[in-house]
Amino acid sequence: MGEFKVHRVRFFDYMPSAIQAMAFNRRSDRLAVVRADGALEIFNFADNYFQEKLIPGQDGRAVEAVCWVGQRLFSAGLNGEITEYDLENLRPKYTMEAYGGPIWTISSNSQGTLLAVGCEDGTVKMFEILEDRIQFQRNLDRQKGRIISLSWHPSGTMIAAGMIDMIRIFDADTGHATHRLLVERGVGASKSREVVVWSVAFLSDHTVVSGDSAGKVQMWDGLTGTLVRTHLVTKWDVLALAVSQDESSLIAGTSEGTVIQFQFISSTVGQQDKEWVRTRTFKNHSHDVRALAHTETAVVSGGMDTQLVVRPLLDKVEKNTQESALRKIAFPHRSLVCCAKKAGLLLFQFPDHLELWRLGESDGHGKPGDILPVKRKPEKLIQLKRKGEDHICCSALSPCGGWLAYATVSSVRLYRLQFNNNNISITKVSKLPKILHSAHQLCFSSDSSKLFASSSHSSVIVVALSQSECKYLHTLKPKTGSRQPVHLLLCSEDGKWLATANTGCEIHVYNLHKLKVNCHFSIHVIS
Amino acid sequence: MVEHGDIRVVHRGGSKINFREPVITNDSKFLLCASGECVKVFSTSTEECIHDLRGHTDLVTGVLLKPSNHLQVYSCSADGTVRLWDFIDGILIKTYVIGYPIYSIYASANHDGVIFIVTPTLGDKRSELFQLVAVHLPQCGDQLVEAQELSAVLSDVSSNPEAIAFGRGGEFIASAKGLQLECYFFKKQKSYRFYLKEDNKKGGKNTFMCIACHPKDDCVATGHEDGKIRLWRNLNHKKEYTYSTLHWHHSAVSSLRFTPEGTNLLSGGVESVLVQWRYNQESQRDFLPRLGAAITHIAVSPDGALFCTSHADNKITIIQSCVKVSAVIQGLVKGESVRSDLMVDPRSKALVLNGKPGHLQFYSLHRDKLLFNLDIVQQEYIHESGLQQFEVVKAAFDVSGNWLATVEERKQKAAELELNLKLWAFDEQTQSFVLNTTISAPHEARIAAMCFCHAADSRTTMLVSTSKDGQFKAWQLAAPAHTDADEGPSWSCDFVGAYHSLAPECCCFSADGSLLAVSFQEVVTVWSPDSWELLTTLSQPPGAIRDLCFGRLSCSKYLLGTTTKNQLCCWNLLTCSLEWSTSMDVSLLLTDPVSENMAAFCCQEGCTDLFVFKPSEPRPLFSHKAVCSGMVTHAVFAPREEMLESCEESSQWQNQSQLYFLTPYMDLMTFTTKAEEERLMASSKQLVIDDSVAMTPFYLLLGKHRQQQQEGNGDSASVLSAERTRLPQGSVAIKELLQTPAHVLPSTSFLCSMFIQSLLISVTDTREEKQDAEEEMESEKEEEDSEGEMDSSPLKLEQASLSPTAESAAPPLTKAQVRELRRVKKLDHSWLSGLLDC
Repeated sequence: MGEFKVHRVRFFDYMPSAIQAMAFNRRSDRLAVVRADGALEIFNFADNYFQEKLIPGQDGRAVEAVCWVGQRLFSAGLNGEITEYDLENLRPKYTMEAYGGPIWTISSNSQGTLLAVGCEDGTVKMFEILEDRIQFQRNLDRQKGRIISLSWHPSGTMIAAGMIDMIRIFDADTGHATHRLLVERGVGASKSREVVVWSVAFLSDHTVVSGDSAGKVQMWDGLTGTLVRTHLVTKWDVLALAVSQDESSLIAGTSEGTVIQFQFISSTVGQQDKEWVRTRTFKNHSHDVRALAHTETAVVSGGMDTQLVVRPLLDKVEKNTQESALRKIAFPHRSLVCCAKKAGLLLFQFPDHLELWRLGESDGHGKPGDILPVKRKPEKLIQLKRKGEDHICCSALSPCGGWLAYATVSSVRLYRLQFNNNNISITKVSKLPKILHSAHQLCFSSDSSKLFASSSHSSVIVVALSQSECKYLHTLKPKTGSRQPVHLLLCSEDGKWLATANTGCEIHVYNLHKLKVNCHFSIHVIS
Repeated sequence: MVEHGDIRVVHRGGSKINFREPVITNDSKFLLCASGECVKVFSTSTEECIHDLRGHTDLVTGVLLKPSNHLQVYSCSADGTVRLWDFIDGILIKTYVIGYPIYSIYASANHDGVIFIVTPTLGDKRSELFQLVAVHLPQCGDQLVEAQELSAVLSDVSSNPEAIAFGRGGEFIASAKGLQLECYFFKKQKSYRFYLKEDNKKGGKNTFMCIACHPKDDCVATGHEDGKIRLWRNLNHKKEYTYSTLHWHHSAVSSLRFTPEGTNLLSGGVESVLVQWRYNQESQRDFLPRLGAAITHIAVSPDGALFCTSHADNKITIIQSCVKVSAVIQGLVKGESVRSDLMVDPRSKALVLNGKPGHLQFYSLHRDKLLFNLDIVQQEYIHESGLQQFEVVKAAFDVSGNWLATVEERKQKAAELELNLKLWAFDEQTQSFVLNTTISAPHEARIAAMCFCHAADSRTTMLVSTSKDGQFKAWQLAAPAHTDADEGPSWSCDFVGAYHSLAPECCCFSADGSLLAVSFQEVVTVWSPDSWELLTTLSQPPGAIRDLCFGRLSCSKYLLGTTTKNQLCCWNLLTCSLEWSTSMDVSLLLTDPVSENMAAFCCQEGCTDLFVFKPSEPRPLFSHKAVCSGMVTHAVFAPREEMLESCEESSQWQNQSQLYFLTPYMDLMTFTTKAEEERLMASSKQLVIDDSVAMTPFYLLLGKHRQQQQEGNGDSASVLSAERTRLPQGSVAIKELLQTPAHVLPSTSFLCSMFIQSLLISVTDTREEKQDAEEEMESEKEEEDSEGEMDSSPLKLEQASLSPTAESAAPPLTKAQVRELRRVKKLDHSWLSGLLDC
């Protein structure tokens, strides 16, 4: 081992953003998480909870709800638009105005044919899901007051909508409301405050479960429209509900940061009549639990404290295994820091700006383990605000410190940094090759002469950089023809090799001299 | 030394009533609880003890209603027997001999003829392991049955009776011990075990404390050391069991109970708050706070109307529908130590000692009931450990019971000792003690002893207190100063005495109040209280004086002292010389206030022996070796209510008063003779009553009378109620008046004459009654066996034919059976006499 100088970098003021909504795809074991800044993350639960994909957010896109339809992912937000995502190119595929004001919720039927959205104006709008787009089909009976939450009956014939002070059950075929369930307000001072049904769940036995702002979890009979049980679980709001696939367990997230489990169990041994009984309480969050997902073996929760918590249900997993451990996903999976070793510079990536810092220096020669006196404090050289609405998805700093590049969903920008004494000048490289319009990952070669940008279908664009111009050299394409995006990109120190890894579990190594694939590895995950 | 076999040491009164969970009977009229070696039957409405179920020879460890007959009750004891009682009549029905000490008892309606008991693991009796055993009770007519059919159900259970409970309808039994919960299903004969970790992340201790099963659902509630309550469900799954957690208590939950309908769960603990949780709506809960002391057990009546809680201060509280405390049954409050000595209140003849913090309790030994608590400190007690609060450390009564002196002290960690001497006068009107004078800081150091002048005829009362500060002070009741005439007399210091700057220890007045003896380490000084003149000093070195007592009555010329160097000395005050001395380690010396006798408790080899002697002769009247283990430091002679007429020399000392003492384990013990025990048994026999009406004093006054009316005309000679007078209400005319509906009654003028006539008739009745009563008085002195002869005259014939047969058949029958037979005979009277009258 050599001798290292360790810098304490305490000036990266990284601020994760709150989890707003989540959806779990049982077929592919993927969890889609939407954060308050509009960023969408996809975690692979089959593969050690790895964050596979990240679609950066956009200014003005406040996503309220997210929903899987097969392998397709839809989201809707307060901007009144429904968005489908292109999970291969990590960008919104298209957006569609619903014309109902802000959208609070989105839900698809289990057959995957219809998408229902709940709008501010009190309409539930049905969209038909076509091969490559969605098409407005019709409105259900319009109600007074906004639709906060929606849940389809598994058969697809009924839909429950949570509103202010009430729940409505619609016949999905006729579009008429069949029941109107009045939700009681809270007691005492909150009596005058209207109660918001934050979440509903329609079970296959026609039980409607609701969670509301008076802290109640209520079980209703969806056929007769009568209240079956009320569980007062908190003094504040019940914000989210999630049901396990076999409908034997239900979880409710509250604004106290607790997740409360209910189980459908028979009260006496050996009898068939079961009822919902409140059982466990999990407290892993410090703030509101906004989003919940119930997997086979675990309770997944996220909320204002930005952590994603995977709490295994100990009765469903083997004891003392890797699965039985509590997981908190708090750190970003992507590298947000880029280091120019020779120049002693650090580049920090934030959703809406970049920061360039010079590391501190010291002249002291100390023994190993000593704290050296700092001669020059670390200083912020540049704060670079991004252009456009889209958030920064990746950035890179060349090892020499002379180049800086970042990319958003829609554009790639390259800057030339020049240092003379204490003056720094930054100039944007205006003419970039046309092909370089978006990138999932950026990387400079070790001699800072080339910029690599991963593009669609796992291809890598190679651009030569020189003082005067930047020139497109080549596009490296994998032979496998994978369509998955590249999420890791690394150039070897001698500048001969370039390695890429994509979410399809493939690693490609390219020979940069011959500009062709040297070899590839592929790991198949058995799922 | 004389040893006497017929005098034995017994637990008498003041035993724990909070030892095990009490049982409320089906009609909610009675409360049964284990108390020492007997089971006490209390009335839930009047708080009175109706009778004791006596028979066990060791601690009763469990009481349980028989599931198939709600008028019978099982009790189990460490003596290895289970007894079945008829608790209304107080009759022992059956005794099942198990042969192993029993710690708790369970039964369920689903298991007919089987009871479940907890015994030590049969292999070795000394072990700390317990097991749950099913006992098949043999079905035979004998009174004493040996139960041999035992089968172990669960091994390694807790001996705490709260830790085992029957599940819904007796389908399963749940037991908790340490960190393990075990459920045994009888049908499948399979048990499921669930484990908890020792403590959770926040440091809460998960140890199980108690358990309760829902009566309708398969739900088990467990209480934990950290105050959590867990509700377990899906118990028949190894892995898919589940539980929810309720948390209100801040420290261990000591008892849990479901109400019979299963709608509520009750929990209690150190907080002395009864918490009622709605089953399935656990966020809604009700509290009944300020129950006085930590809750140890909770019981619910079968109809769910009454709850009752046992408390750590030997109290049972009866609660109506979780909102109102309707009755409090208070036993003798026993803390860790008695700082004030045992005393007897001369007025009420009650035992007086420390009770609740800051209180003196007055406990009636004859009725075995707490009379009242006198708040001495008059400050709110804060339930928190580690706080230094005022405590009553000394108390003394004057000879007539008019004055009570108390000393309370508080020792702050660094600060000075705070002392208060309070004098209380007895108020005839309110029948209680009223604070007369408070003397703050009467001495500079702790008060060592305090006594009133004994002289009954002296005009002024005097109190002497000795203190570690080297002084003794005499306090006297003095008339108030002229300025404030409206105030009554108050106490003030009359004399301060000291002797060679030694610290005084004991003080004692002679019987006539003419002499005061104060001990200063090894010197006894004798003073004249009139002139405060030091008369003489007596000393018997080495060894400081430990106790000092003047003789009484004929022996009042003697002064006795014990020293720390194992000496018992007797000085003759007329000659001022040592009369006799003997070498023994007397830990406690006390005098009988009504006789010459003195009692000395001697500590020898870890045991305490008792010697009773007269100061005039050094020969003990009575001695009892090893009355208990450890050192006896508190004892008292309590005068008897009625004299004993024992002529045996060894028990004569007990004729006028009874000696009570406290063992180091805070058990109140006394000495009893065989004759006395028999008398007690006989009196309890008398209390057997036929109907199910509670035997309250009110009932004794009025209720019995009604029964007599039913039995026939005025010539009935009941065994009972010799001193009761018959009241006129029972006459036909008045009955008519009261029972006929108002709208069919004739006019008042018509009724008036009838009413007056009825009164006239009753006068003759009462005269007859008196004669009867006299007869009864005579007959009562006769032997018990003639009881049968005293029945009503119309039945004489039948009686004559029956009783000889009963008598002739008597030898093979046991006493209890004969009693039963008589009871049956008595039951027949009413209809038979009706027939004969026709």
